[in-house]
Amino acid sequence: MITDLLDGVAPLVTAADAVLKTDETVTVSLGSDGVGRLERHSGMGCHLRVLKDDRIGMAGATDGRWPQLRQAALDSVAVGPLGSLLLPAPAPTPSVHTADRVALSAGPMQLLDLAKSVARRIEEDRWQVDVWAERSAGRVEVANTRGVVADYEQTLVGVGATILDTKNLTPIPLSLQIVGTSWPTGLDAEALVTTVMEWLSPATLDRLPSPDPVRVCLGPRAVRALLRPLELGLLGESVFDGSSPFRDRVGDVVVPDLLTIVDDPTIAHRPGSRPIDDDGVVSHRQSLIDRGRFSGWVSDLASGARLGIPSTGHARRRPHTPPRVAYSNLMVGSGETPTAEFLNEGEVIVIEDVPIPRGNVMDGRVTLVTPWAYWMSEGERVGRLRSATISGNVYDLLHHVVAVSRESQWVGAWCGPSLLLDGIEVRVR
Amino acid sequence: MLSYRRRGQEFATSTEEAIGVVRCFNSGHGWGSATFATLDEVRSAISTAHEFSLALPTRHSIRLSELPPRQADIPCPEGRDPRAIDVAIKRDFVRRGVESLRSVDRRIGDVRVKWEDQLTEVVVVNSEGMVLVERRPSISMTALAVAAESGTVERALGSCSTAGALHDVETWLGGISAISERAVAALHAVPVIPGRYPVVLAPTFAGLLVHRVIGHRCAAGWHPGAALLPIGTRIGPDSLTIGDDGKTPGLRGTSAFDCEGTQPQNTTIVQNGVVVGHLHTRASAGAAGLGATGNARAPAAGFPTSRLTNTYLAKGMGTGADLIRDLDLGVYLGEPLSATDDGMVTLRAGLGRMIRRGELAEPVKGASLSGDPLGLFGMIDAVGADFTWDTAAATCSLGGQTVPVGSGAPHIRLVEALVGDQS
Repeated sequence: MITDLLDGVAPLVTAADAVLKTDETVTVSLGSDGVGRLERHSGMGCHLRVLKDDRIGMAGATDGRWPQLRQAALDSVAVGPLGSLLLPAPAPTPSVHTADRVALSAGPMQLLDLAKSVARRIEEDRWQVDVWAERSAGRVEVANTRGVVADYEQTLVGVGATILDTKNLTPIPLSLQIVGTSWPTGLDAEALVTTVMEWLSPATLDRLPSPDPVRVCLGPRAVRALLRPLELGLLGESVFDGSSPFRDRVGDVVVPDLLTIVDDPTIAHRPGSRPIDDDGVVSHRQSLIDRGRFSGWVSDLASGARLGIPSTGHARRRPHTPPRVAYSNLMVGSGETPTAEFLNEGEVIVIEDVPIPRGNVMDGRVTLVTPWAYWMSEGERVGRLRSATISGNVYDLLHHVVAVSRESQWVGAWCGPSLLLDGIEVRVR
Repeated sequence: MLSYRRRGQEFATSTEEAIGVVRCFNSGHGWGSATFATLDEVRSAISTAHEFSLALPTRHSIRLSELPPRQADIPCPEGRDPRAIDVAIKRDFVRRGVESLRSVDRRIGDVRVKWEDQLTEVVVVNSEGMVLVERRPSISMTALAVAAESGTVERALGSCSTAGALHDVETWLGGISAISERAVAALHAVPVIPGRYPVVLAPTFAGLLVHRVIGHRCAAGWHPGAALLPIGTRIGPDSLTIGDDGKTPGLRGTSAFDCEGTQPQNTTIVQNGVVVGHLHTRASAGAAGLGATGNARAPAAGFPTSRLTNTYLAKGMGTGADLIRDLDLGVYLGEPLSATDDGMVTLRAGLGRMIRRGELAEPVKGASLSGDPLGLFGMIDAVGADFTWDTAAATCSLGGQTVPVGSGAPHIRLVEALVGDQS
């Protein structure tokens, strides 16, 4: 179908490419008020980009009316930017598992059973529990006028819970979820329930067990928030327009050598897995930070053309927004120390989760505030802190990392280990 | 949508989107819903929504508040349809923005200016005989300026939004250079010394605080399972009156009807420092035995929940200068960058100023305001009379659903608040 769209526009332009995404998502939500919702969202979206008279035009549509979409893209050429569109040529794509047969065939009743099974295991009198489960199944088609024609199926399944501890003086909702391309196993669901219990069960501490400085263990979710400035700084656009702290520093040591970061769309069954990006560029593993050295960035065709650099295959296109650069599966390398070793010695503050810093934090300045922090003594969770706050510059804070855990955890399309930090200030209540 | 950067134009694009959603419930069962993209698919969507509802037995029956059916067809206000604006004019606006931002100072490096306009046709029908149609125009412009000197890089942002009134955009464009001036001023601003200070918040900052902390806690859909602030709770001094106004023309969250067809209203949620009301959909109002307030909102095909429209803190007495005058030492926060609310509230500020001997003094950067959510409101000791609606292109995201919102407030003063340093 996407080739029909391109065939119709090809004679009128110098070059063109398009991406077409179809999707059906079914979501079940079981509310703590006893009312459930079962929703089906089906849709399609197409983004068409053309090069004509050295100008780039683009348009999107969700209604499948190709003549109107073609005309809108051609009309936008008149006001579009001057530029080039160096489309990729056809090339072999890697075999990447992006869809799961069980997830593809799952219907609303299976989702309902999944949500109910999680809800039953979490239910407690003192908690208000809302559970949701979602399955999305879709298809992505990519094509261009140089002959690239590719498509792949994609599934995504998630199950999550939001729990409110109503006995707590200041109720704080806990939201946790697991997301992948495969249907969750019993172990996945059990892991979700176990995490809920571990986080919510400890009583809140009225006072700190010790006034002495302690080490801080950041769990994978908290590490993800801490490293947000690096995610922004590793966008090719930032590196080459000078706003990234990594500008002109390819090959330099920019963070401690305990840290390695890669983006890998080719690994199987993860939310960002794909054989080809939305520009038709074949997917490959991209090294970003290699043992502390700045080794690469991510870019798409549009930003690459503007900056005179090649695309790394990280385009994401949707019908109602211009193309943008996006990570696929972002992975932080694990270390050698078992997490248990972090926690079994002395006093440790464990920070499990922190909201991702919003806005432009590329310069590294962050304030991370969380209610999901615990005091651990000799491996025992003594209690939950009312809140923990870390303020400072991420690039300084990373110099306090003394160990990286051997275990990693997936959080959506992000995977990373726990970090142990020494000598940082944590304000706790 | 048109976007320019320092190097020139980035992109020009247009989108046509058509989506609808049917939702349905049966007595003793839950909600079922299904989307459709064309009118041909409506019958199938109704059937799916019906089946889905029957698949969900519930412990409590859904009860909708009463809503008399009505019919209305509301055209786009005359002269406000952005499709009628020549694209050359739109491009000129963006170019002028870029030039104004760049002309401020040689230290301004990258700049970005974006124009976005849309005309949304919203149709709401229900099985009780409601048929409503409204065409809602919107124009927004956003700008970013980056200043750099000797390895220090600072950014400043600004935006405006209007219901299709080109002269509103023209007015904003006339002051766009202030964004570059803020970025340049931040280059030599010093980090704030963390501690407890009297803090004066500019109207935009106060508006965000009110939206985020009180507004969210009084809207029935703010967080699954989360309790609303109970009616009768005292949150602060008598000078605090807070409401949500979805009907004042021209604001980001204004509409003629919400996603259920209820006419938005001006709902007082805090009167003289005490919680007096909540914001409701028909279902949450029905469960509470009240009337809907016109706050059922969702993106195009989302499930409507109770969301804020234009939240405001009503004016008190005095100006911003009055609030500053009797402070020997304090902090003035004028530019909110972000807010988090997870047990503790933290609002991150862009450029601020120290207050010394009753006057605004040196610029400070990296300041954040933190505290227990309700505790912050207990610290308010003065509310100014200089109320303004914020015209920024603001949105509110909850549970993955983003809706446009407005906020308004005067200057306010917190007697002693925790100010952190993020620099």
